[in-house]
Amino acid sequence: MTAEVLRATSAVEAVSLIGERGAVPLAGATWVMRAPLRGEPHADAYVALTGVDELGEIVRDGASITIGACVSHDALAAALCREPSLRGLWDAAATSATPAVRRMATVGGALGAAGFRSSDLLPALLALGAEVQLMPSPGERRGLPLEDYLRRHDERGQALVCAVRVPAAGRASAHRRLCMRRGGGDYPVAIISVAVSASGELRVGAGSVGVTPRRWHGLERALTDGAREPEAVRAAAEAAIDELEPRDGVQAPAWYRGHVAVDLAVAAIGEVS
Amino acid sequence: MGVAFVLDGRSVTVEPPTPLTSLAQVLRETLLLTGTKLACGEGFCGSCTVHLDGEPVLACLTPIALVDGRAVATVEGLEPDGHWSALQQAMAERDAVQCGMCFPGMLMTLTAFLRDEAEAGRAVTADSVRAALTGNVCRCTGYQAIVEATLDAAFDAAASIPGPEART
Repeated sequence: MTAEVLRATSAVEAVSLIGERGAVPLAGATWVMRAPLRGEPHADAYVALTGVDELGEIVRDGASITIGACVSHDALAAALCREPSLRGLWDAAATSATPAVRRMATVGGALGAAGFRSSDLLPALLALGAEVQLMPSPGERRGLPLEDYLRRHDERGQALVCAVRVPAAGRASAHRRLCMRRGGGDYPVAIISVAVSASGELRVGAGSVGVTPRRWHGLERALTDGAREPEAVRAAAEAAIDELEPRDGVQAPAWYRGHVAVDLAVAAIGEVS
Repeated sequence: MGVAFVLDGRSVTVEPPTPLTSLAQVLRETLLLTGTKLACGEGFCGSCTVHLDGEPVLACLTPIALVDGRAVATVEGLEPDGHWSALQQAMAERDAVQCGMCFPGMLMTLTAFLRDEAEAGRAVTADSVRAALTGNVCRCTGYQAIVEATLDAAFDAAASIPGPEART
């Protein structure tokens, strides 16, 4: 069956098409277009969000920044270049994939691409304590911590991701990644994002190490006492690495991903401490 | 389902096999513009790079349905009057072309890069050229001549290189 691409001009219309037609949101299309390469069938219907202006906005309200789901990585990087506390998110948006992919791939796509292990945005957003703003039915809005959203796979596909809301001030953040190819452009072996609040609370996000991006709670707990010298961070990361469940893959074996994750954690935490 | 768009300055309408048929396939197989190469087909190599509303994108990952009403520029559009652009001329003078598979994508990426750097008043350096080419892979590994040719074009007095279409 040939997939159908429907068009929406508002978030409410898009949610209606998701509910009534079972349509899957389509924005940058970089994940959807590769479905056959992953051995996955295309959906019967998609709803193009490129005409929904409200999903392409970045809104600052002082305490937070709300990033529309259709904002591209490139546009996000351009918008964050003067936000020192969001340096980690800026790095994630500005260095992921390749320039052309960054112009196409969107924030909402990163959230909706279940099964993509190597997103740069998700570890950065996890470290910053982002909240996903969803529209489960026309006109209804609710927020969900990103960490919960990533755990609740059933939420995906049923609600439209409208935006992510990120606390904007009072923290330092950093993002580190390692690609096998000099200059990047391939999927990283490991990604570590960290953020430290003014009160010293540390949050760590990890990507590409295991099968899904996730918080690294074990490392956060081990470093709650504030002892964040490189030796202490390395020892804590090595002790907690199993929590990330490093995976074997074509690019790198599990043991190597684990080693890289530890090194990146030392570097990233050193940058913000 | 007809899809209408502006292609290298002229209006076209196509009837693609499906709305998710890639722009690269439509360009090559329907419109017979084979300058756009389709190599990896998954967004890694950059050989299919074209301009969509003035910005370099990967035609292999662009569903034709999302092109409706927009402006596409291909490598064929770089010389609408039969004359090479300053960048193409510099590439020829540096003998930068090897097998030619990656080259149309390189040209499209670098044309937009030089335009953007000129508009922003930024100096073009070898490092910035290499960064711009992160997503354009050359398996002949001939990057150096391409970088040098791009620097030549940037420093050329006539190298305020216009894109083949107005930015929208």
